[in-house]
Amino acid sequence: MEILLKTVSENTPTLISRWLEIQVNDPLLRSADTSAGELRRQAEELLDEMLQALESLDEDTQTTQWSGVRSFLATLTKRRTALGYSPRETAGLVLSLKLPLFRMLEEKAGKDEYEKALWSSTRILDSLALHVTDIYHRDREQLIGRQRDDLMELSAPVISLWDGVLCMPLIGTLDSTRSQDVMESLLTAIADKEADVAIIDITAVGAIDTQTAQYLIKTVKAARLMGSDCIISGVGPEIAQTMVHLGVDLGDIDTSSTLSSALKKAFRTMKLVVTSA
Amino acid sequence: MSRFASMTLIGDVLVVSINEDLPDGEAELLLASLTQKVDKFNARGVLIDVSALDIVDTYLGQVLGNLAKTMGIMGAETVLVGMQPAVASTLVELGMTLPELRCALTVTRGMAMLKKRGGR
Repeated sequence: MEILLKTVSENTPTLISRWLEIQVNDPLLRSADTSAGELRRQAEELLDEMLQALESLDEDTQTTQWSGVRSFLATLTKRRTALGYSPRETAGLVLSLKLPLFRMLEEKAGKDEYEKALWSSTRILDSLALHVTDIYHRDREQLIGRQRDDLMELSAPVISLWDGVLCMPLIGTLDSTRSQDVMESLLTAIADKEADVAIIDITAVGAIDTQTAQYLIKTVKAARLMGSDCIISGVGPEIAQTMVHLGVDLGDIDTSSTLSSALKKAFRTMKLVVTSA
Repeated sequence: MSRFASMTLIGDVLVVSINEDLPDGEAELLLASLTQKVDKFNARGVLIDVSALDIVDTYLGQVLGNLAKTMGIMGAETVLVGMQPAVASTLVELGMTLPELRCALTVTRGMAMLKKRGGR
């Protein structure tokens, strides 16, 4: 470790210029998309952070001494990801330091020291490159999570159709997680708004399977336990046929083919009459 | 009187509030004292308020079902009010849909439901 620190700190400018040369000549790193000044600044900053971390003589890049390097790489990865760089290209940037560093160690260190320093620097650079891919993945996971939440909110809104009549139009396909959410948000809305009738409209649901049908039935039964009537509307010819084919027993659950007929049923339940003025 | 549930007679309706989650033995005691009260006051309806319950199991589900059946035999109608969404979905997940019970969202609505059916 000492020899690694000594070599890097005494030869920083040479190391940077050799490293930049490799970066520019490697087409896989897409360095041409970044200006020369920016590349130099990145290399200098990263090496500077690494030097500070190396002074702790600690090879484990997960420790607090390396937090500066880690956060610098995190910012760099996020910025480059936004610009369309792949994780391979950013991790490659870190790994491309290996060649100039190894050559320099070979020149400056004795044979015993060289092997040790080689091993230390490999460990450090590999771990930093893995950190880059980690950051990239975490970033993507967050993005997917956010989008899933957005989708969830968009896909199961609860609309108040009338005093005491709620409607939940479902769109797309229902998997078990979504069905669970749909059930929960409808039941909560029934409790909040004290709805006498809740209509689940499945007009825009493309296909239905046994599991989805079971979830719908469960939701209706749970709503009934809370003291609210539940109607499934928008059961088109295809879905009706599928349900029969699947052998789904809807029992005494109220269904109707259109939302308007469901609303009429709701009015009848609530003893409301619509008249023309 | 159990500390887990309180009973009040309003008109000819016996209002039972379950205050917290019933331990197993308590539910049986509740059923016993309830049948006695219904007999004593000649109650026409029983309104069970479960809005304070946030945990339910198959046992309690069975007790509620039995309660409704017993009351039915004694000529009183049972309405269950204020079940929380989480409790309702749990009961359904457990396969207990309590078809013998009539349910209402609030105490007011439950009373109205009993009144409508009334007339003796």
